[in-house]
Amino acid sequence: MMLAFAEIRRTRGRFLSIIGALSLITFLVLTLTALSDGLFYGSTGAYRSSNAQAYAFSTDAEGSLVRSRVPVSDVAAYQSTEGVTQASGVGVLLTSGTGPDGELDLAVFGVEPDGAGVPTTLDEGRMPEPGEDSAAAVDQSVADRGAVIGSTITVGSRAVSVVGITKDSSYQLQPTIWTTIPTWRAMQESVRPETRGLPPSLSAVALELAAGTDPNSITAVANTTVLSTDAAALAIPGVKEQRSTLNSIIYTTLLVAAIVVALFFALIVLEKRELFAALKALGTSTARLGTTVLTQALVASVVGVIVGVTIARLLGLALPAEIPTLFRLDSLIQVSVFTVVASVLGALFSLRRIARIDPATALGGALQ
Amino acid sequence: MTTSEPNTPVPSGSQAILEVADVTKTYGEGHTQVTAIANASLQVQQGQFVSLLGPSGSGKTTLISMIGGLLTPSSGTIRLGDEMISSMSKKELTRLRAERVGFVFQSSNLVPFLTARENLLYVASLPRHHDRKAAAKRADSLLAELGLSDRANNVPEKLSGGERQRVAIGRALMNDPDLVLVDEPTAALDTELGRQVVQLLAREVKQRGKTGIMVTHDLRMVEYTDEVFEILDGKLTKSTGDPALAVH
Repeated sequence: MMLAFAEIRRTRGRFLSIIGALSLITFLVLTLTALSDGLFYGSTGAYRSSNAQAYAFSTDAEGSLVRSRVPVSDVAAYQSTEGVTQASGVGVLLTSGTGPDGELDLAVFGVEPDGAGVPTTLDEGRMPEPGEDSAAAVDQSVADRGAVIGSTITVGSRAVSVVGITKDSSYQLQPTIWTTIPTWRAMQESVRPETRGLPPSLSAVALELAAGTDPNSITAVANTTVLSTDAAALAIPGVKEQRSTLNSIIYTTLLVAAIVVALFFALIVLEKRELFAALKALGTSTARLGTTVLTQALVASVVGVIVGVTIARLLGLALPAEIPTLFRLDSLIQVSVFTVVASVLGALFSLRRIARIDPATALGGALQ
Repeated sequence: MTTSEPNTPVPSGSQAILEVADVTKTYGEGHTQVTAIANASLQVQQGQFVSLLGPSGSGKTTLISMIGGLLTPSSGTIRLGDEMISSMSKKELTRLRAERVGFVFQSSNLVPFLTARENLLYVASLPRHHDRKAAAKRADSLLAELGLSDRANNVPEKLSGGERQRVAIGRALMNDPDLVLVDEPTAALDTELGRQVVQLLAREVKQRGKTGIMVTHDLRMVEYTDEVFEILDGKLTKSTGDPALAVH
């Protein structure tokens, strides 16, 4: 301990350089994680906040709500399927509309307000009543664009009045509004004239399951596929790809952190070979020298992580709202722990080198 | 001369604190085998300061490394007090060096980021049982004795070569060792400073009743030692006459 801290204190410059490198790496990983989380949570809110445990899509839709189309009769069919306690129709329309602050992109969800597939994250006001047309609950992101309870949102020729605000319920990074199925259908016919006159259909069927029922065990009605809500969230186009791309960048960056620390301590140990030989000759055990290096790696990485987290948080506040970042405490803790662990693992590589230093080389000068 | 340890199971007839008996050290095998030390024997009494004189490559470093528990002999035995150094495991040797052997290296080899005082305290922390308060007291009195009181809080970089070697002497004495091994202490110093350092070493070793062995190739330094052993091509002899013969 004495060696570890005295060295950091008296050769501050070089430790500041490794702390600086680790701060930047932490900052980078955190920002990437915030972006990954922002994309993921912004894309999947409608599912994650849903009270349904599973969804049934048309088989050709590959689990995508916007591609899926099922006949209205499927709702009744699922209602009588074993394991399903409640089945409700869900309609989805990606479009744009007009709110108090002007035009905005929207995902319109038509739901049965007392059924399945409804967000559980109501923050203010209420959901539309069953049969209450021209009313909608809106996601917080719509409220962020000026909507309050009582505001009017217009989609095509159809206007709804805001009666409630839900949190964390966006879909594919678009603000959502939650209305009844007839209102959704009216909006769809208004902005998609080609759907007029077709037999009424739905996008999917939301399913509430009996407690302990495995969503994969539900027998699908003809031409439909049942996915658990979690699986449906990952089936949103791009979600899985974004997450795996960003995660591989994050893991690569953590690997870089381990390599940077490994190289740093490899150099330090190489430079101190003669000193370490002398210290071993004086009776210092390899374990004690190893502990010194690991302690230094731990201190450098913990300080680096603290600085990196601070920078990332400060910079995150300054990021424009259009960039979908989300700083989550659990991700932050995970990244911090991973960075510290990667650093200590990097430093472990120096232990073998320390173990190989022969104390006998301390005598006889450099020539022998 | 008698040893100070009443319980020491010393072989009859021998009262030396350090006894090297018929030690050989070889490196390599078969045709490429090299004998660094051949059948060396020596005894040193407590309170004696002896020198080991020989040219470079003569094997003196190998011999002192074995005595200090840094190398294990190929054959023969080395005993320090009641402990058989030659048959110890690496771990035991590390413990032995921390507790019973003090080293003064060629280039002082102080920890560059510790002050003079901390360099002494560091070695005090090595033995399994150590007393911080007592160590601090001892470090201060050693530094005072070596004339370093006002330099105690300087890192080695801020000390002169002679001061560094004096800190190294303090470090070697810090754990009250039985044996002090000194490796060419004057290599990095000019003649006058080197003489002062060796004088100081001789005084400290004798005053404290330690046993000291100094490796050197500098004839001018042997006058401060009680006995001179010469070593040439791995063969150790006790010098009786003019040691200059061994140096060439």
